[in-house]
Amino acid sequence: MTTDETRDLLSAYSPEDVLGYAKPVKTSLVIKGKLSRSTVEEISKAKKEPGWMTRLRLKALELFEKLPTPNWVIGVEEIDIEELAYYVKPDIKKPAASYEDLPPEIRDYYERLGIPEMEAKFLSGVTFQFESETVYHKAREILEKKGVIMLPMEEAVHKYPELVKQYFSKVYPMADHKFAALHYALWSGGAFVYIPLGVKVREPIEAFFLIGQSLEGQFEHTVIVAEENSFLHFIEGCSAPMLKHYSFHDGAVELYAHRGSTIKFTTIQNWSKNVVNFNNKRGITEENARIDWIEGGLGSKITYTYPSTVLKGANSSSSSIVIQMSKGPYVKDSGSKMYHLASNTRSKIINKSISVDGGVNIYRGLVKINKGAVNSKSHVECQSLILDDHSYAYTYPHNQVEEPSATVTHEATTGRIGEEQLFYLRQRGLTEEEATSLLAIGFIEDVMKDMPFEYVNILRKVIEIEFSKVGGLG
Amino acid sequence: MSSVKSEASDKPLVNLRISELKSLADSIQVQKYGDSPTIKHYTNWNKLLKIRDAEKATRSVQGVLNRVLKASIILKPGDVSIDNDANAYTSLLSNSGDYEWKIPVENKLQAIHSYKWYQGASIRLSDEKEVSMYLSPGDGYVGYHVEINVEDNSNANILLGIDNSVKSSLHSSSILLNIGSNSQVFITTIEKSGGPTYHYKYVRIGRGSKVNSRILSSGGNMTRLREDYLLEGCKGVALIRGSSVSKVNERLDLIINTIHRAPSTLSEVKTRGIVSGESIVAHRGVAKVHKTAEWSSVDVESFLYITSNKARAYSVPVLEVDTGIVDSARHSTAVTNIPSDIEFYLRQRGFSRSDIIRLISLGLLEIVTEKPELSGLEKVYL
Repeated sequence: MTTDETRDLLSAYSPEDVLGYAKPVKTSLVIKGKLSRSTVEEISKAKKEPGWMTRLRLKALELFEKLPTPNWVIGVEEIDIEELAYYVKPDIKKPAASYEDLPPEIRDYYERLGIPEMEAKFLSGVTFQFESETVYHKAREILEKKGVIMLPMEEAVHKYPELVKQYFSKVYPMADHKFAALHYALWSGGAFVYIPLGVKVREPIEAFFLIGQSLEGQFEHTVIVAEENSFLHFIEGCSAPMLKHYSFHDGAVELYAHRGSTIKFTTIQNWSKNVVNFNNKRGITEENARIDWIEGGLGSKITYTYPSTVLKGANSSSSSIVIQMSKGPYVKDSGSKMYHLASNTRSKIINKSISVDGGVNIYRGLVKINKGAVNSKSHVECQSLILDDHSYAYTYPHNQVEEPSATVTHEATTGRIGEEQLFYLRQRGLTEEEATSLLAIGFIEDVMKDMPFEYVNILRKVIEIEFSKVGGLG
Repeated sequence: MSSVKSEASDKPLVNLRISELKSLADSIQVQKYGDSPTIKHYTNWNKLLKIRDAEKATRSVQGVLNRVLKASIILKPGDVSIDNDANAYTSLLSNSGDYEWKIPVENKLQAIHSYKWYQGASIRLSDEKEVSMYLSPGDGYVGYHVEINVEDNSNANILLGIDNSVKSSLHSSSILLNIGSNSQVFITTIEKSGGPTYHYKYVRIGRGSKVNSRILSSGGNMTRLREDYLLEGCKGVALIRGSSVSKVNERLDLIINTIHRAPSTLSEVKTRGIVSGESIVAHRGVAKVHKTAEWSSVDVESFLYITSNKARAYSVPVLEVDTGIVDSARHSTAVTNIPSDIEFYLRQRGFSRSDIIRLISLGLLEIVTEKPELSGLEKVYL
């Protein structure tokens, strides 16, 4: 990407500006219409899946039909599942290994997002999904040398069926809620990453998901398995161009951290403003293992995301750091969940949100300490900033303790920017809008320090420019 | 965002009659739980729903609170006794076809209670008044409803004893407390249960008024104790302290909600609880700041101590803020064992662990035992 293009990216304030209007992309197969066994079998057939996966899909479909629509979500009533294209295959025979091999209109999207530049700078592997299929997939040689498996999910199902079978749908159960069941019935795309014993992948692997048209469903599934004492940082990015109607994202992430391993999972969500986003994320930690969730949520019409960790092994730990920003009549419904099943487990949840211009931020969290999770500790911190009189922030924390030696602490604040802080900055020559932007960035600064540098820059710029629309910095 | 669900009663009053309430009770759900993908109930509704089909009690039964609380107004099955010295204007209420229910109905049990209660009183307090009430247990279902109106520019002191300490007694009660403007109300509620108990207090606070509320609870077979404080007048204040002492096998769901509708209102909710034996205790509450409640301040704090292997404690402090023009809105909670430094300090001075638990429990009782008429509560609660 050229310097000018980088400048364009940084000076744009939403994925619509970065990616422009949705462009027609040639497809080779589109499955839509009434959702039934035959539609699900058609997807499975198109992917030439083994019988066990087809059966899993059909079981999920049955569950989807049986389960009620969850009454804790708002806005899903707008989604007419049968109006959506469940499976859209771009006209590409297999994932490209170089950008030049991508169709120009798809290549244009990724270049506008600046992904090639990031890949060259600091990523050890990249997988790009456009619509329902992976269109670009590349891993550095070093990964192969270390025995790391990094494949599009479909390919992993064929190449390593036993390994995939061992983990797929074992961490995030399909019966969790109606849309989890829908996800398993229709899943397509995503990545499978396996880090062998003791291998530490220092440079992150990134998966990027893009929805190219309106009235589409994207249901990618990512599984990451870290064997004993291994390390991986995985980055997930999501975006979409300007769409005429809504589209629906219902993805899933399953992390399995074996004994002593660490998985760091970062999500930068910047869907365009008419994508309804369901993100089902859960991880399991064995003894001494650790899972860190980091999430920056900027775009989408409505987002539901609750990164969760099941702390199954003794001395394991997890953290979840989430920043959500709702500007305009959009909803971010997020929250982390920590299930402590073993002794000496530790968890920390930090959730920061900014609501402005009628935006709604909701935190729904759960810390559950089971009996026997001796000496476990959890700390939850929620901070919400509301910048005007017509935006909203709601906090719904649940702290459930069944073990007397455990400690759970929780603190939350909701408020506006302090008068004295504004006064201080105004005295130094900043306008009120500039001071507000600066303080808003400061509010989430300590969360951004855990993100890769390149992403921090983009995130910071996006936030600055979001405020510039009301006259702030940028 | 009207579509965001909340358990707090922020609906306008609806004046329903018995026939409407009965059909509402059939159609309405047990609990409007839209608060989480994984959380369903903290109340064991099956135990409380026995109230629906229970026969009315024929006589009152001696409860434990009667020993420590000398009330001027006593509500019991078939009778309301009003002491001649009762320092308030009191009249009887009957749940007949003409009576209009003035509290918002938002769950099945509330609807059942609203048509099923059968003993009631209406009290008017003005100037400097004190009133103490005792709700007695019975040999079956007891249902009470009390309306208290505190006039403008008054100082009122209300003491309420909810006694359902008999296991065979099923109890549902409601208190509607309307506070005019520029008044001060000190209300103390002590609850002791054995059988299923459902209590709902609905407090409307007028302009410039201040409520100081103290709640002591233990929980019985299943106790759901819910209090809603509506700050409807500018500069209204609600200061609420709650304590629960659950020793053996109690199940308590204590819910304290504060709903700010007027500007410059202030609420502070602080609850503490000790959970021992095989008890299950939830301390919950919604602090809601409406768009119209600019420059308001909300503070919710909860501490629960678990002292035994089979005890369970849940803390759910919900904060809903609909405006950025808020003075402060915060909550903090902790669920933990007895802090090790406190335990160490006391053990060094010769206290056994059971002494320490008793000492902490005594401390929790103190929020109400400062009232001389309530001395001796430790014999009931510890």
